Amino acid sequence: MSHLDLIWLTALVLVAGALLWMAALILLRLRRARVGRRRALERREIMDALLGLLAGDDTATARLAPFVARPRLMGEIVVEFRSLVRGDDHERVQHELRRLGLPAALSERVAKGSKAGRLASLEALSALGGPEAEAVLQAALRQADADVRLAALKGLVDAGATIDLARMLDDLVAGAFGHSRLIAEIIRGTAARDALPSIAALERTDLDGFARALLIDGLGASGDYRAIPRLLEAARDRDFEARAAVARAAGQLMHPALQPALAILLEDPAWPVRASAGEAVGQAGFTTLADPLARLLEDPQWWVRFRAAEALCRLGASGAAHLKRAGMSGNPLASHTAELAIAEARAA
Amino acid sequence: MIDLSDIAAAIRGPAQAVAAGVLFLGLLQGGLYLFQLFLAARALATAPPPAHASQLWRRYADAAPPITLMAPAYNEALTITESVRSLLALQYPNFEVVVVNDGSSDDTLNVLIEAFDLRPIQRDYELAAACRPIRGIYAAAQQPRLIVVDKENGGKSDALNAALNLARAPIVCAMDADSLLEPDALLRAVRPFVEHPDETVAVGGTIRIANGCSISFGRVTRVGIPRNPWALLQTVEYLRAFLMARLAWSRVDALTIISGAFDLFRRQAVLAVGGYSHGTVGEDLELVVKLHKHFRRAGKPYRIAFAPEPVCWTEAPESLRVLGRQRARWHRGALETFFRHRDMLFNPRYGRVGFLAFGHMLLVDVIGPLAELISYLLLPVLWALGALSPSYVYALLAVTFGYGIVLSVGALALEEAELRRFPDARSLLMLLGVAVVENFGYRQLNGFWRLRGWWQFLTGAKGWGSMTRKGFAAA
Repeated sequence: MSHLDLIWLTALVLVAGALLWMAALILLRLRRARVGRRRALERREIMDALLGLLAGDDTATARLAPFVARPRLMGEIVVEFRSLVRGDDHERVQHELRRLGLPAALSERVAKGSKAGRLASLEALSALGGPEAEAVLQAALRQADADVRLAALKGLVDAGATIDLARMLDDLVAGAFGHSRLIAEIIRGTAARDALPSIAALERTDLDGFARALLIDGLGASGDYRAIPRLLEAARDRDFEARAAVARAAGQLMHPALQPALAILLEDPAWPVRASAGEAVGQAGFTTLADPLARLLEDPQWWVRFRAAEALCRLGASGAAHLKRAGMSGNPLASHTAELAIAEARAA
Repeated sequence: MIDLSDIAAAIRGPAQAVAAGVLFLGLLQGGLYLFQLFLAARALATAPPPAHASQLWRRYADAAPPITLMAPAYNEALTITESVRSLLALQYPNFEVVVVNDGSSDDTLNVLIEAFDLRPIQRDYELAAACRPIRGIYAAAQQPRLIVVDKENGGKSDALNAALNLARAPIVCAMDADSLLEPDALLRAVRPFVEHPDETVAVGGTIRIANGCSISFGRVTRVGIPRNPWALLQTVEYLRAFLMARLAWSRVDALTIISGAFDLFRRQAVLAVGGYSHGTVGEDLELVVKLHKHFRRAGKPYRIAFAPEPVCWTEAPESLRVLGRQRARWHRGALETFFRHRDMLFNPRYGRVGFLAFGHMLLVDVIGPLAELISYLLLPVLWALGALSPSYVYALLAVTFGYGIVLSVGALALEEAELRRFPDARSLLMLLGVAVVENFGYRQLNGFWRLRGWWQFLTGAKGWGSMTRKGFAAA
């Protein structure tokens, strides 16, 4: 074959390949459209049957039964439906779906198939609740895929189940979830529900600043004063993220015993800690800290000045007096920040 | 007496050598595009499964960080109210909208004041990024999420810097005031910031052409394909640019282009590099390159990602004149960034960005149009010298066209695999037809516009030129 023939052959192969690809895309699209139409019809049937359940329709359960073999589809609709009903209606639907064996079908789907299907099934199990669903969610925590494990954790939290905080922290230390904000929310939420395991976990030496900060944030949200001694210790944490979390927790707990810690954190070398401490003083209403707070109006960092001014606004008469004084001071940073804070507060 | 045959013999060799060089560059470019297609397909195959908006809300709403939407507006009086209303109606748990009236000479500010019952307010902000003086800040009585900034005219970068200063959220989203975001676009785009919050510094979304779509109250209610031939050609082009090139470079951490029509950044990261640069028309590309440079130099881990799922709809030019101006400007922007940061080219300090991304820019944006020009000039010369075999020319042209069609169909295949926004098989068939047709004329026209961009760059042209828009109501 000559060079010229070879070039022509390449051109022909390319064009033929492109045409075949085009034909395949069109055929696939037509098939997808057909499947989509069928799915929409099935969704409507399932929705009608679920509404029938609420209306006391005797045939509703029988109409739902064939779809149990389609756990992903059922799962997606169940999750949507759950957000629409409450109380007795919700209980009735859950009961019927459990009776039809949906948890078992979803459990099988969690173990195999596409990831999208597994995630949807885990969400549906969480929505269904009950011991069987919880067992499947707990088992899914052992799956290799981090997204599936994360979905199982979220499912357990949403279902109000107990989560083993220590194991979750082990996974975090092992780097299974990175520093994802999803796992952060779950850990914060778990720590907030039960303070004691978090107080104990703060003694662990293998946790990094990120993990300690999450636990401390959770303790702040727990409202549990038993956390105070640990928070006072954590105010001297080597990691600034953890110290900033202590400031936030102090703002939430609003306990006077935390004032000395906040006084130290207001002078922390890391500006995010100073900003959080300033905000916390305003949130907790610690007027005794108004003086050091007002000094932050001269901080070189804009966020620190801004948070301090905001906090002073929240401190009532004492804060307002400080702002007024700062507004008339010769320091351009402090007076500018104070004037704008007063103006913003007036407009709010 | 000069013998013409001697001259012909003398230039024949060099001309053939140059032609071989141009052919080699063409092959190299072709290979690079194929590599991109392969990478993009791999990226889609390993991407997290797409989810419905309601699923996304359940999964991400609690963990989603606050976002400030920055919408610069210049002479947008006709469309600004509808655009802002659609922004305020986005599905996202915590966001604010900062609209910057960049010294419009029309009634943009008054239209906003009237439509949203705006009142002047005082708001503390840090002048962290350079911008022209701010004349006033306004807030809406009934819309706590909305802030309007009125400032002296300074261009898009300047307006974005003003918004950046005013922003109080850790994530900022830059967009064009006349673009339309899909309701769940922010929730989809924020995903990398939720999953990898420490490393992610920027995320770009997909830009699609709204011409031909039905639009109601600032929302695309039915996706259609444009009737205008120029807009139709751009539809396939956008698919190739976003679903192929950006996805591919994002996959190998060498993404330098994130469209300024819709991108998310970590605010502190943008401020660390001084905000948006003035004096360039490619401020979006420039910013991303600055971020790469900053983080590579600091040795900090970082991610600049492309998320194909969030979609922003924009109006494409429908006239050849406006389209040509836009493309020349884009090319000028790419050249400005390339030469401003030329120290990054093949510099081991910048890793893949220096080798792959800048190498690609060198090949496609810098040398590409020049090589194309040389080939057009050489063709008649070689022909006249009898050094060109017509059979080879036809065969090579056939390969080039065949290859171009394969790439465009590949981009459509990626669209079908990931987004499937086109409503029916008929639209798809039409776009496949466009994928064939665009190789005959439109691609060459693009080459000409890129040469014009080169010329504008060399002659130091400034400014954007006017972009005539019909507005979405008429789309």
